[in-house]
Amino acid sequence: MKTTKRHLHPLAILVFWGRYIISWFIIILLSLFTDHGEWNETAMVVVIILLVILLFAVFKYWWYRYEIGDQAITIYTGVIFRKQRHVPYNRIQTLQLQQWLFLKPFHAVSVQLETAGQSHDQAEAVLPVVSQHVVDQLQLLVNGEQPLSDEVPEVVDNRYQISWSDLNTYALTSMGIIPILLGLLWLYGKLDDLVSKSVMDETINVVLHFGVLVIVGLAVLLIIAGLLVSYLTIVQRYYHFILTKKGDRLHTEKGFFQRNTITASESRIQAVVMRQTVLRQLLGLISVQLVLVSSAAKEEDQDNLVMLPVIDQSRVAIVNQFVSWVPAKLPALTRLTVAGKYRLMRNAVLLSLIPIIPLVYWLRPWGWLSLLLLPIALIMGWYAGRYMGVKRLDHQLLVLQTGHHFQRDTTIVPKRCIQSVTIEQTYWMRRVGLCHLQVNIRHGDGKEMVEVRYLPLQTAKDVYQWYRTKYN
Amino acid sequence: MIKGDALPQQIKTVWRISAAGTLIFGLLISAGLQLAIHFWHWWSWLGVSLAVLTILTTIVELAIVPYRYRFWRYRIMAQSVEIESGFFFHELTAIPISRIQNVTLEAGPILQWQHLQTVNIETAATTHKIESVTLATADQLKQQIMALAMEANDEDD
Repeated sequence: MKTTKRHLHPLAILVFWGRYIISWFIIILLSLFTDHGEWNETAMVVVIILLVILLFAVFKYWWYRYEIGDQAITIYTGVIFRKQRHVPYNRIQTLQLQQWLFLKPFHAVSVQLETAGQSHDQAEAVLPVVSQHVVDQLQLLVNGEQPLSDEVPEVVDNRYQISWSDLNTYALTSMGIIPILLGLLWLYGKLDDLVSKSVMDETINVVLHFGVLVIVGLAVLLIIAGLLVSYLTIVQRYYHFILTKKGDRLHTEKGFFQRNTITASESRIQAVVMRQTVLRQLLGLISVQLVLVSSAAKEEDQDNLVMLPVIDQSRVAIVNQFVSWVPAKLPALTRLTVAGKYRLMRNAVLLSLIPIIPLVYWLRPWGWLSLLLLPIALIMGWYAGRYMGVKRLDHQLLVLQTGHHFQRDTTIVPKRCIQSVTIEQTYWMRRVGLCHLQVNIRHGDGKEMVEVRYLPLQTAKDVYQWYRTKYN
Repeated sequence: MIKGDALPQQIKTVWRISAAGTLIFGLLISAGLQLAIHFWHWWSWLGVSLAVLTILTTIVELAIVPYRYRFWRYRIMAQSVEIESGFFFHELTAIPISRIQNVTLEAGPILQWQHLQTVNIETAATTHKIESVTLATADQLKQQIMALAMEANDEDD
């Protein structure tokens, strides 16, 4: 293979220009306001600034070159401070493609290659704009994939595409604010009963007098607008979500304004997380996510790569078609004993007393309302206790379940991906034979600790021994 | 308790010196606060309470030295490293040799003076610390872990 230094797609100049304009936006704006001359003078200044920025973009483009070798890709950047990055193909964890809508007609794509190196939120190798045939060439080298041709239809082993109603459900149930709003509405309704009519009327009179209603109306409008924006953002991001599996590689493709494709091989998956907020749990829905050694998914749910945004609980077996080591049916887990559940509830209640006590003490009439936190804390503790659990499956898999803040996470992790295991126990826990089990997994650039709290010591010891010894 | 090695005896001296360090540092800041109270009329209880807090912390730090020493254990075996510490707050960690990415030895001035070294065992996700070992043990440990790590492979467990 010939190895010559190549330039990016010429459209990269436009993209660089756009980025510079955005990052210099404040300076451009300031120059508009400080200049008190004729309008055409002002326009002149802006045009000059834009041209200077364009010159910078051209410089950057000119010095941004890459070389696709047999074993590695090399990227040369920098005008004054030159930088060379070598990324060997076999170290690549994820290959990510991003295509803005306006680049589609030009068949131009942005490519990001990530390795396990700790580079803090930035991909190891980035090609901001290259043409599709470069992408095909890279995919062949990284994944051994043949480029798509029109005659031969693409052969995939498994495919999942999100339906419109599923996407809608996902977006609606992703917004944490809805339950809060419902709660507030309910509270308002209750307020009517609690507070006497005359007090209520008087308050409303005062409020009317100050025109506060207008402000409240505006606030409500703002909240609704915010909700709409967050809803549309999610719909946009997961628009036409497609998950396919070919050989041992998983592809996810999604997005409307920016089509985002992420490829990762099955062996690079550190863990599979099945996540349910209490809202989704009530609706029988589940979201399946992958823990990867890559920040490719940093905009998604807690940095996990969303594999199946939302599916019905009963269809969870299809995960197995995409990640073969995930069992089609999850086993019953070893749960907490009553002593463990009691401690989780006790802790939640004690924690809720921290705001309650001063509120009740200093803000007497309204402070009593904070007592409402008490039952919420109690239920939260109960929820956590109900769903903590652990089970090891055959020799290679560990299933952990945790519940906190009304969210239930089931983590399925292969033994080879567990980096270390810790058992924690205080003196008081030892007397009742309980402990915390902490399992550390590599996640993105750092670590993710899955902690099952107040587990019976024997169960934790069993996992610990299984992990520590090579065969058993 | 696992049947492992205890930390070297000298670590107690190191801990006591570091407690003294806390004391000096805290008292210096209290003195600074005293000046601020004098010149800028800051709250007068600030300096005194910090000094009291510093002395209390130092006393506790000194008092728990034997306890810390008594319950610290580590063990290096063919397949894994185990680290155990604490009685009231007990912690037991297992790190398989095959997960170890690198081993870092480090020593500040106090540890150097006592001829000790801290061993940091790093995996892809976490860092685990063996608080201190003698120079000879540190070197031996490093060799042992690296040799085992060379043999061990992710695939063979």
